Amino acid sequence: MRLDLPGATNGLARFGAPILFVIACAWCFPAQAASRNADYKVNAKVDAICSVGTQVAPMTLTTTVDKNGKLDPALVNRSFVVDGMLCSGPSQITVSATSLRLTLPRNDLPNGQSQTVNFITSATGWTSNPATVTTRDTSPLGSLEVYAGVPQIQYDAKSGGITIHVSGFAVVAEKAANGPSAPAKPVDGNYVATITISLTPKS
Amino acid sequence: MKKILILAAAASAFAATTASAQAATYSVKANVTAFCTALTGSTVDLDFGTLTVGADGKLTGVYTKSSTQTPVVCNGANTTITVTPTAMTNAATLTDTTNFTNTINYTTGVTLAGHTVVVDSAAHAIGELTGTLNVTASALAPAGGKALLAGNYAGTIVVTLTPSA
Repeated sequence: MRLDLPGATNGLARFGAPILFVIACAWCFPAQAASRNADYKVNAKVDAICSVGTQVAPMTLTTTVDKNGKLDPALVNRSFVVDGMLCSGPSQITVSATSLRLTLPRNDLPNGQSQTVNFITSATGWTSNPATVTTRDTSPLGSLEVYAGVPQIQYDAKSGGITIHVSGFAVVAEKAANGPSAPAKPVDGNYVATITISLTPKS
Repeated sequence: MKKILILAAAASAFAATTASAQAATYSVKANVTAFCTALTGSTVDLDFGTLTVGADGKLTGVYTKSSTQTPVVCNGANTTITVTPTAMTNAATLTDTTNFTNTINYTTGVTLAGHTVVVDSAAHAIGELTGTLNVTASALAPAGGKALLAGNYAGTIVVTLTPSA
């Protein structure tokens, strides 16, 4: 093919040449369609869970009461670590507890004696503010009531241990009708309390 | 006189023969555009749903999902296929990168017309073909073998067929 564009002297030649070029090149390269793209969406979901990797056995606090009925101060600020806690998303921790009460509680007590000890439980290491609860029994006879603390929120997935502190042990005394309660001494025997740490996913 | 007539006849016959050898060539041309079947992709076939994790937050179980399309046709001798997978990720904020991950890797398998396709985000020649396209995601593996951050995970396998004659 000869394209004498520079020498063309009429308008038809000037405009016709490019047209011829295009037609000619239609045979130069095989035509092909555009690429075919497809997206395959790969999806999955993981539900939030909370778990305790290692279940802890009941903690045993051993204490003595002196002749004045005072609890062993070694009880104060005792702490225990619960390892292997995990929440795969935001979580809520709640501490609940029963008062420390005679294992085999009596139905009545002599004046000035008590079988119930209130105390404070605090769980740290999971949230910025500790989760705490204070038992609030009012009778020396005590009760089985479970006291729940204010939940604390952890907004991130977290793994690790929780430290439980116990403190503020106070023997529950009989309330006087008027005026302050008379001090009470704990009766001898084994005492038991239950502390429950609840970790739940927080949506 | 008789000899002269014979020569004249022979010359006339030669001239006639020369005229009948002329021929014309007609080029017959056509063009077939290289093409491939439109791929449908999938938004549902490779959905693993809710994964199971253990108490340690790590993935348990074996998972495989696949998507097929048939027939897929490509008529170009130099057609190529490219497969580009991206890991599943979770958009939720991850702060504890020591114990958790928001990424799930997986193995992508692609076969086309019975042939295994190399999955490496590069173009590979497959030529002309007719057959089934099968895309599989399997062997889910949380990055670093860590516990999985809760939430929704999404990834993509992009399959590209480039027709070429």
